[in-house]
Amino acid sequence: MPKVPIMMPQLGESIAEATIIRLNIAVGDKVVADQEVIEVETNKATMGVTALCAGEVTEILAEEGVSYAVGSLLGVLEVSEDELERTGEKSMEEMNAEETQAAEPQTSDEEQNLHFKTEDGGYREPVLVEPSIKGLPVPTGKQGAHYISPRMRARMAELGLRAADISAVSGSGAGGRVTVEDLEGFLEHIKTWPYTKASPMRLAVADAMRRSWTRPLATVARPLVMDKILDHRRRQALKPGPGKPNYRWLFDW
Amino acid sequence: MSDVTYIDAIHAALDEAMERDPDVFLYGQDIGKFGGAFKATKGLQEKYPGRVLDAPISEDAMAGVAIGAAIEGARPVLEMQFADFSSVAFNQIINQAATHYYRTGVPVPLTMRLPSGGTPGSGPFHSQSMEAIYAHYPGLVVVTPATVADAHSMLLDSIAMDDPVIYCEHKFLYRWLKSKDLSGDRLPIGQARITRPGKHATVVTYSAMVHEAVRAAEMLYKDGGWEIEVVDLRSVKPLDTDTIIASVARTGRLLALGEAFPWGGVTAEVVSRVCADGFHLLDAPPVRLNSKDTPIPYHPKLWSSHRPTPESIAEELRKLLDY
Repeated sequence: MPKVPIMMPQLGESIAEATIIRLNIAVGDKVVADQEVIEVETNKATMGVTALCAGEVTEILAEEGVSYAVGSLLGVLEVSEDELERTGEKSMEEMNAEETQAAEPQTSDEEQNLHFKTEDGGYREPVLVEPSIKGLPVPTGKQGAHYISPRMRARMAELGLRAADISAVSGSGAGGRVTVEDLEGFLEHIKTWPYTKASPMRLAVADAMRRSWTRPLATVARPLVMDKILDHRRRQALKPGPGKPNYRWLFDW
Repeated sequence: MSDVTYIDAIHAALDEAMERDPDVFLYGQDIGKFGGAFKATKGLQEKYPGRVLDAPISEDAMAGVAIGAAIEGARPVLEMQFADFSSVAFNQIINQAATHYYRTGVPVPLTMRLPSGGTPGSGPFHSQSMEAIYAHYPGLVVVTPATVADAHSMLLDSIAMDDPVIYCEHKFLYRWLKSKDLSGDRLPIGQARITRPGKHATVVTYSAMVHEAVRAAEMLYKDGGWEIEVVDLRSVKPLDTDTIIASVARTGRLLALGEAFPWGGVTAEVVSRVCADGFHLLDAPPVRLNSKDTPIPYHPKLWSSHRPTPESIAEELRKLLDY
């Protein structure tokens, strides 16, 4: 017949152990499920330990007056298979089997939760993420940083404007920043401008200019050795007459 | 009619609540014959015999008694002599009163009056503002009236409310703030008020700082025609996020102002909510202004440099407007 333990229960959130005051059972006694079999005392209160299943007491390990930690084995009941199934409790055999399984060592000797793993005993640098730059190339203003506040961004999105579109607005904010008031003021202001219908050519030019801001800008450089050309120029006689640009001083140092 | 002060409004509300509802009783240290440290309960013991009770000098025990009475159906109004000492009753308030309805379905209709905030020369134990601490806990309502009419109507509403309410009354306003009468708009608890409309920046504040913010706004209006909107939160919990966001939508700039210490607190909560829900409305980084991060000094001059003043508020606002 399966054996079911009588264990010191978790009596309260902060209770770690309890003292046995009285044993209400003896070996050979028949008990019913939920019967109070042992009386225990904690710092806070006196409580009862109940039997999990109906059965016969086969062993008592607890002694009166002694403290036991939560989870300690206090006694053993022998119960029928039917009772075990009815209560859904686990027999001691099942518990032992689970424990051995849980205690089995991990098959891999790799350490878990290691953020920066080592190779050959050395430290490996974590892979750095390359920053990516998004957005439109915006012409640099004469002053200040072109910071666009969340509100400006929202307003511009509402109006279908891009960063380039506000480059003509003079900013009154910190470092020449264009504030929402500046933008609204500018929008009000341009309403007063006289309207003339643009010619198709102007429209084409304007469109090309607008699109040019959406093009990536690139500079290609190639080093050239100019020594021979400079030598040649030095050997030439200067052209007579004042007011002519003279670049000689650039090369004569 | 002669002028009504903020403390008169509190006295009148207590009187009215007791008149209206026999379940209401007052409990606190020296509130009976002596009439309370600030005379908020003066004469009420004679008028309502057996319903204005002097408590022992143990805030913990007082709160326990009041919470027990509230659970049993009474409507106690608990007076803490100073908000600072309510910390002694902290366990009762946050563990018992705040959680009781959630745990048992039985409400705790308790009102705890906290004389809060600084006055010149009151020092570290008689000047503190505790609203942020209580607002942290679910289950508590925390109100911070700034006007005479609000002091009156919000205390009546607090007593009538079935939830435990922390009623933070500002000691500086007690006799300084006057009004012709007690009439007002009687907004419900949980709704903020636009004290002064404006369009260039929003100051969100509460309690005595509402008056300092209005003075700063007046200075800026005289200086450069700046129109500052002042939002009086009235209750810090519930926090009327809608009114705040609507105001920031008008102005694009936010200063969250409070008299409490700067670490965390109501102003941090306001900024956090605006950033989360109204980021696209901000044209400048939101600013907070609180008292200094030190205990509150005794000396009146030190004290006035410790707390926000109209001058320091105006300075912060100028920086905000210049951004």
